[in-house]
Amino acid sequence: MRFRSPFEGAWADPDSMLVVRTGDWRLERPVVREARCSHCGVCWLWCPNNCIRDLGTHFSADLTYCKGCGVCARVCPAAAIVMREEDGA
Amino acid sequence: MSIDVQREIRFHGRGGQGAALAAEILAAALVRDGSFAAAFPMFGFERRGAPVAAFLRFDSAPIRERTQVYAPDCLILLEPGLVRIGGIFDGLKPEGALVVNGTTLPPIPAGVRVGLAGVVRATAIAREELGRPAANTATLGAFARITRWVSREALLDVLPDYFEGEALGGNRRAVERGYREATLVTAPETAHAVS
Amino acid sequence: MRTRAPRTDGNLRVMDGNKAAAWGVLLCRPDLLASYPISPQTPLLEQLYKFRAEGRLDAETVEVEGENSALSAAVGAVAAGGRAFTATSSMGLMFMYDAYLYASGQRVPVVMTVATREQCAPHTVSSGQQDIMLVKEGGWIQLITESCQEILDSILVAYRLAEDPTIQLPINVCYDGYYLSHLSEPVRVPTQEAVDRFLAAVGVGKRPVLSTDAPLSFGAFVLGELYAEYRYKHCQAMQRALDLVAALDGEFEAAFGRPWGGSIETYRAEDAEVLLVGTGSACGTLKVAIDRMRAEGLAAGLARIRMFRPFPRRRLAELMRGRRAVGVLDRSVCFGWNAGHLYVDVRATAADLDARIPLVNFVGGLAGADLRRELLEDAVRTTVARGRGEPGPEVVWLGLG
Repeated sequence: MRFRSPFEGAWADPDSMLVVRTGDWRLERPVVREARCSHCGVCWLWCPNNCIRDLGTHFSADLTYCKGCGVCARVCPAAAIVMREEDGA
Repeated sequence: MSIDVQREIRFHGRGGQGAALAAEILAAALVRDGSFAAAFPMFGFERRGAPVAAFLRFDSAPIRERTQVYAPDCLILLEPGLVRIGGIFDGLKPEGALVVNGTTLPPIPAGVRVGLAGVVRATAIAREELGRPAANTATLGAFARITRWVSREALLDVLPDYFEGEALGGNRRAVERGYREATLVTAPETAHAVS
Repeated sequence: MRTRAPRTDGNLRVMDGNKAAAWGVLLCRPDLLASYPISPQTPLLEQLYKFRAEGRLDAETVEVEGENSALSAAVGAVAAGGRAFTATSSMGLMFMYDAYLYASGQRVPVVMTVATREQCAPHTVSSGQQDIMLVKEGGWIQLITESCQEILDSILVAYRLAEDPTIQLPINVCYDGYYLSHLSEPVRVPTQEAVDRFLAAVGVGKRPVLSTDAPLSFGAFVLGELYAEYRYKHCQAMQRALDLVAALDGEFEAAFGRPWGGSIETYRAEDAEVLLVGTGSACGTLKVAIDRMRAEGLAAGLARIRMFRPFPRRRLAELMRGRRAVGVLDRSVCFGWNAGHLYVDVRATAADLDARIPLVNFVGGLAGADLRRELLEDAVRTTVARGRGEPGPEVVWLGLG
């Protein structure tokens, strides 16, 4: 018999959940207006999905996993993030 | 409407769009029209925005199968953007029907042969009539017009079992408008293969 | 096998299994509802509370902090002479386990639905029958259904059976989580008058109750031979329940104009070379698979176990007699026997037969794995092959390979 898992019980490589591309769930995307971003990192702290990436001068959401919840836009002290409707949403 | 063989329908949408409810309402309407019908949603975590599916069978005999639909006679796409995820057209019968919420058909994968196809701006109708993007009832109205598998009257008749007050009025208008504003897209156009 | 389309009068409604259960409960007029939400049973509670808010259901409700309290509250209400209802699934059923054993051992006729669900771990919230199989020896009567209509009907039967003075046992009405709990299909809702007449034979005054007028002690400490006596009586009552369901089927048909069906439903079994045995919603798909295999010349039939506890051993043995092979479909796993739970019962039943019959077990549909028609057609083919002497494993795990 060919098995799918190397383990006896439900243990798994923590990265295995990355196959769930939660970005497919998004109805709206966060758009960061880079000029306004003060690089404070509040969005990075609050993102419930841990998908805000530090790009050195500003932050940006990883759209492969961002579900479009809008928390980052709500908490941004500089109002640098706006939510835009996805095409076909 | 009387049919000789069982027909199967698969709905695709996003959590929150009402795909499961659409399947239930359509089952009720089909029963009202004199068929047997059974519908159920895909069993997963119910998360807003996540891709969801729902399944429906109808027949002139009682429905006994209790499984997902793998070879639909019709696909109802509440969110055509989902096609980018893949798998949406899996198993569609040759010359199967396609009902799409939108202004154009999504790219049809190579090898898929669509027969009847139609579009309706169901999200826009829902925003206008309900004040929110619940595209399900307008899409059902379009389904009735495009396939003629269920009567518009039956859809309207069963709505009070699912909505009340303002929502009932809004959904009635959404069904009516979905029916009226549905546009049939001709087969040659749909046969265009996009890889 | 086509029949007339259903009449669309006021009594025929399209509803899912949870709503069908709620309608069944409403019509039985319970005095108390006590339940704790758990998927996939929660919409049933929501519907019952809606009925109550609309003034249609005159029942007391107890907001409990968990399943153990839910069943305990129901037991108290029934001991006080009332009619009580509760419902659960999977982990919730496990969490009420000591109350579960108390209800049956104390002979309290509670009715509880179980929207059956796979049992963790591994963690899951999907369909399966492991939960009810893990409590099958808890002394309750267990009915397992195939359709939404049968859920409603079985709740009526359950109250009639549970509260019968000769039975006095709690009953689980089980329906497959998601596959039935969330399946919308036409259900005929009987009239209140018909249900009242059907249940008139049972009710207050037909069994011991807590009362200040004639005080009785409930839950007394018991030792030794007296304990054996209660256990013996409990076993006897379980066996009487087998006889009573057969008799009740006539009563049910007289009251509602359609049969309920008794402990086992058969499908194309009369002339079947091989018999499939199963339980729950997958049997619907299995019937379609059998029709298709019959069209290919394979004479298969089905025995669907509707009453799982007490197990209808004599009736099943009669149905198995003379078959070339018997295939058993299980949506659960019995670790001690390396097979499914139903299979173990069928194997035990086979010992009642004079001749040895090849048996094969199909385990599948665990944690919501879809029991596709093709898989069940393969199960029918395999059973036929075993009947013709082809070798193979005793347990076939559907979908693994």
